[in-house]
Parts: sequence; C-alpha cells; structure tokens
Amino acid sequence: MYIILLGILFLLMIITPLIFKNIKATGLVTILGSLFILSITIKIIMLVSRFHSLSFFNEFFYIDSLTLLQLLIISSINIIVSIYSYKYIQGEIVEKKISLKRGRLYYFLFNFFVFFMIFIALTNNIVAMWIGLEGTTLTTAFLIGFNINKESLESAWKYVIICSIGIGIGFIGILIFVNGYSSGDPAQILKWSHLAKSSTPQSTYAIKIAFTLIFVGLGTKAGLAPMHTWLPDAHSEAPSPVSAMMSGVLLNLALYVILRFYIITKHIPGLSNTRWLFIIFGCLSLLISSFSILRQLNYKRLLAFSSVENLGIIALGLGIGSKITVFGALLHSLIHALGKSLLFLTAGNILSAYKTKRIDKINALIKTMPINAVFLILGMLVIVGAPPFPSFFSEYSIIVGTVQSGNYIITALYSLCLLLVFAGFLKVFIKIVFNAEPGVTYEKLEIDKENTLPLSLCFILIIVMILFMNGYLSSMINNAVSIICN
Amino acid sequence: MIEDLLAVILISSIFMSGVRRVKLVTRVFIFQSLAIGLIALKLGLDTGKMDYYILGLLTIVTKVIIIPIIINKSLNQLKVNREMDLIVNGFISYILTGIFIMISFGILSSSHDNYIKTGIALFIIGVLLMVARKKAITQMIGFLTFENGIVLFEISLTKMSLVIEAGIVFEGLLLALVMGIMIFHINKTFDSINTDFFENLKE
Repeated sequence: MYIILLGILFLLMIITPLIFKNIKATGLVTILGSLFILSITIKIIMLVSRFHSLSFFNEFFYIDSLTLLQLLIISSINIIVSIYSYKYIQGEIVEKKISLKRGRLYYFLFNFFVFFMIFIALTNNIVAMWIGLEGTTLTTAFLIGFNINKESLESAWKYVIICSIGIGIGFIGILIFVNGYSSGDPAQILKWSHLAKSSTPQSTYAIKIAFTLIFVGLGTKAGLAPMHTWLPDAHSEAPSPVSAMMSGVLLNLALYVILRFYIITKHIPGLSNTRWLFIIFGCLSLLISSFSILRQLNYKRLLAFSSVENLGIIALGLGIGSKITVFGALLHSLIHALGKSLLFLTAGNILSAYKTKRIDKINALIKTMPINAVFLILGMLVIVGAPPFPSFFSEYSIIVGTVQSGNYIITALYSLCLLLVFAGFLKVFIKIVFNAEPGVTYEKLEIDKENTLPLSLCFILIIVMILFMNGYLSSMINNAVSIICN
Repeated sequence: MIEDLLAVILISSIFMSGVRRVKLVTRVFIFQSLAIGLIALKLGLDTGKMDYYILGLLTIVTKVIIIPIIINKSLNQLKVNREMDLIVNGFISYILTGIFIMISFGILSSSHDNYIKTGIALFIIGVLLMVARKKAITQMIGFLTFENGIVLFEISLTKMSLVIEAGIVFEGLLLALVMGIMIFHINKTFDSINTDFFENLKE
C-alpha cells in the first residue's frame, strides 16, 4: 500500500518536469512530493516499530530498522535539498547560467536520483540493489556535468568511467555470491532476508572472493580510499545541492549495500575476518583524506575529502563490530548526512555570492554574509564532532570500542586523523569567517538572506536529533545494531 | 558450436586490443557481441529456457544494432581523426592481451567452465582498452567489452528472473547512451575527445 503510494508519487514527480514548462511549479511539486515522502517514511517507521519488520510484494520489498535509518536519511535530506533547489535553479536561470530546459532536466534527473535511492533502501532483492546503484550512477553523471564546462565534464567523465568499472566489478562479485548459494530454492535465492537466514553455502572460498569483489567494487561508489579518486572532483564540480545529496546520502547508501552483504557473509564460519576489509579500508580512507584536507585550496574539495574521512569512520566502526562501535557508525552516518548537507548548501550560497571556490579569495565572511557564516561554523562543529552534537558521541563511542577490542594502533591512528581533520577544518574556516585584511572595508552582501531557510531547517533537524537521542532514535539504532551484530 | 563462438570472442578481443582505427574496433566489437548473443540463443535452443532467448535477443538488439549506431553517429558528427591515440602501442597490447588470456585460462585450468575463463579475459582486455587508450570513445568501447564479459558470466553462473535480467541489459544500454552524450559534450567543449586535455582538476 505505502510502496504503491511511493511509486505513484515518484511517477508524478518524474513526469512533472517533462510536462510543465513552468520551473516554479515544478519546484513546488518537488517540494510537495518530498514532504509526502517524508510523511510516508514516518508512517512506515511507526508501522515497523510495531511489527519489527515488514515485507511487500512477495518479499521484493523488505523493511527493517536498518532500512528505516536509510529511509530517514534520504527523505530528510531530500526535503532540505529540494527546498534549496527551488531558489537555486531559479537563481541560475535568472543569471542566464542555464536555460529553462536544463532547469527542467535538473528536476527530472534529481527526482529520478531520489527514486533510485529509495528503491535501493527498500528492496530486498540483492541484484535489484545493484540495479539501483547503477541507476544512481546514470542519473548523477549528468547532474555532475550539469554546468557543461571543462572542469565539470572532466569530473563527470572520470566519475562515469571509474564508478561503472567499480560497479561492474561489484556485479561480478554478486554473481559469484549468488552462485555460491545456488543449491537453495531458486525462487528465494536473490532475497536478502532469505540469504541472511540460510545455512552455509557450498563453498566458503567462493563467498570470500565474492565478498571481496563486492567490497572493492561497491566501495568505489562509497568513496572509500584508495578508490575515492573520482570523489573530490565530482563533489566539487557538481551543483551544490547535488553534492549535498551525493555526499550525505549516496555514499552512505553504497556502504549500506555492502553492509547487507556483510551481514550474510559474517555468519558463515571461517569468514569472520572479512571485517578486516572494513577496518583496513576505513583506516586508509581516514589517513589519506585527513592529510589531503590539510593542503586543500578549494573549499568544496575540502568538504569532499571530509566525506571520505567520515565514510572511513563509519567503515571502521562497522569493521570493529562490537555493539558500541556499530551504534557509533550508524549514528555517525545519520549525523554526517545532516551536517555535510548543511556545509555543502552553505558552501553553495557562498559560491553563488563570491563566484569562486578558492579559499584564499574569501575573507571576513562574518561581516559580508553573517547568516551563512554562522551556519558554516555550526556545520563545521557538527562535522568535526564537537561535544553538543551527536557526532561527538558517535566518534567517541568508536574510540571506546577500538580500545575495548584492544586494537590500540587503530585507536591511535583514528584519533590522530580526527585531530588532523579538526586542525585542518579550523584553519580553513577561521580564515574564511574571521580573517579581515587590513585596510579593506567589508560590506554586508544583500545575497546573504537568500536561500537560508533550508540551512535553518537542516540545523533544526540536527537539534531535533539531539533531543530525541535518548528516546526513540537510539532504540531504532539499537534495533539496527542487533540486526548487524546478531 | 559454442566452443567455436567462444573462440571467435577471444580472437576478436585480441584484434580489438591492437587495431588502430576506431571504426575497425567498432566492427570487431559488433562481431564479438553477435557471438555472445548467438551463444545465449544456442543455449536457449539446447535447454529450452526462456531466459537465454531473452538475454540473447537483448544483447543482439542493444550491442549489435543500437550501440554501434550511436558510436558511428558520434564518429561522423565529431569528425575526429579516425586513428586512436595509444598509450601502450599496438604490438605490446597484443602481447599483453595474449598474456592475460593465458593467465585467465591458467588460473582456472581446473574448471571446465569456458564461459568464465573467456569472461575474465574480456574483463581484463576491456580494462586494458580503457586504461591504455586516450580517446574517450575507445574508453567507452573498452567499457562495453567489459560488459560483454559480464554477460558471459551471467550465462554461466546464475539464472535470474526476467525483470532483473532485462534491467541489467537495459542499464548497460543507458550507460552507453550517457557516455555517448557526454562524449558529444566533451568534443564540443574541448574541441577534442582526447582525454589528455583532462588536466584541469588537480590538487
């Protein structure tokens, strides 16, 4: 019932930009649609809290607490970004940067992109998950190259080539994986909920190879180092709302698909060491991104590297695998999505005011754009994990988990990287916000007030998250943890 | 019959790795895809399963008809010089391909599944085409070769439901289309489809 409703909603949202010539109406329909999606998500959350898990259409769709977390992330970021896009696209059209036709193309692709993401989260069929991921590659390729200039086309081409190879490798892995279970009932074999319960496969060796291929292949899409090379380019060249969506949600979702396979794999005796894949790639991501952050000249690239870092934290938390670290990882994926969207959207506002991505060209933001400056600082505090925000607790619980499990080297590495990121962020953002050059008078820009509603909405959501931390949210995350750790 | 077709696939992949002209590579690619489609159809004839027929037909329709049309159209429109620039030259490419085929057949010498061996050879050759060529359009053909390998894997390993299989092939087609459109834009913006010009984004 709800699934059908969602399907109809997406059909409407995808068709609207094709039919209506009016870009304002299209934007409003998208906002309205995302509101409905959020309300359906909340409804589904309430349903699942009663029944533990739901399945629809002969178990093609399957919803448990892990899905709920992803749904929550997608639908909340979706509404923020669609409100942001409303003014963003109109502004671009007024400035004659893009034609009306491209504005409509944007909404078409954007809604398709969100559709594929919700599809990945809801589906129970492991190959359908892959189809969804490939679909996101298709739609975001054009969204990254949306501005059609040299830089954006280069990054889009890079993205398509690297990610399609990665996803191809992931698919080979999935094929071998399914083949490893081929003695089972052929009607059930592609269903995750069936595979998670089923007994041992024919050959654990094949599953080991398959999972490694899946991890490396889909890890490309998740932006784990050293497969992250497309990510800084793509996220810095894409329009800011798209970067927010990709960085906050899509990376997470790719990791979610890997996690689904990991849950199946880890029950098999002799394969528990696959968790080291998470740990090693997580640590590598942390190391590479934290050192890269220190030497960035472009603030959107800086944020992109920070996404690699945060995905590294999440992967590390999942890899250590004790209850407290998995809790931290899931909580971190939630707060990272909100915080990173806040930062990317603020960066988008700054970009449209200053027309430059270079850090050294922007000074004294607190005087020129006070509202955006405040959001920039708040977003930075969320991302680096300052205490009042949930990111502190998530990062802290991962430290506690690594110490408890006795991996002291990893603890040291992890804390060092967090410190480096903290230093790198502080250096850049203090410079951007407060550094006033002598002899220059800074005037308040009129554009400051534009498009701040989605930023405040994003921050309100973070506050709501803090307030509900101990109650409903943590019980939901704990349910998800019990799915992974059990 | 199937063994012969697999041999055709392997020989065509060796050809692709060393030939210098884009049009010729496209033609060889058509041969390769046709062979894969025919294998699927033959298997369908032997086993009587609907899935193989569908897979074979989809492969032939997309990779023998639609995608070559896209490639040829963009080649004519772009007026690129038909020679492709090589990073690894033809002779070495031939040798590398030969070594890769030997490796992939050597590793799996215990298994009797020739599809998988050929599939792995195609993966490696596809990636080689993507890495060792400068033109965006050859990189696209490399990716399609890689995908042909995936189809061979699919034939050998699993029987999926029809919707899923159609989805996979359809997405391959869409991806080729996306790449085609992007190549068009790249040509317009850079006045070339040579990926050497991709050097704006560095740290």
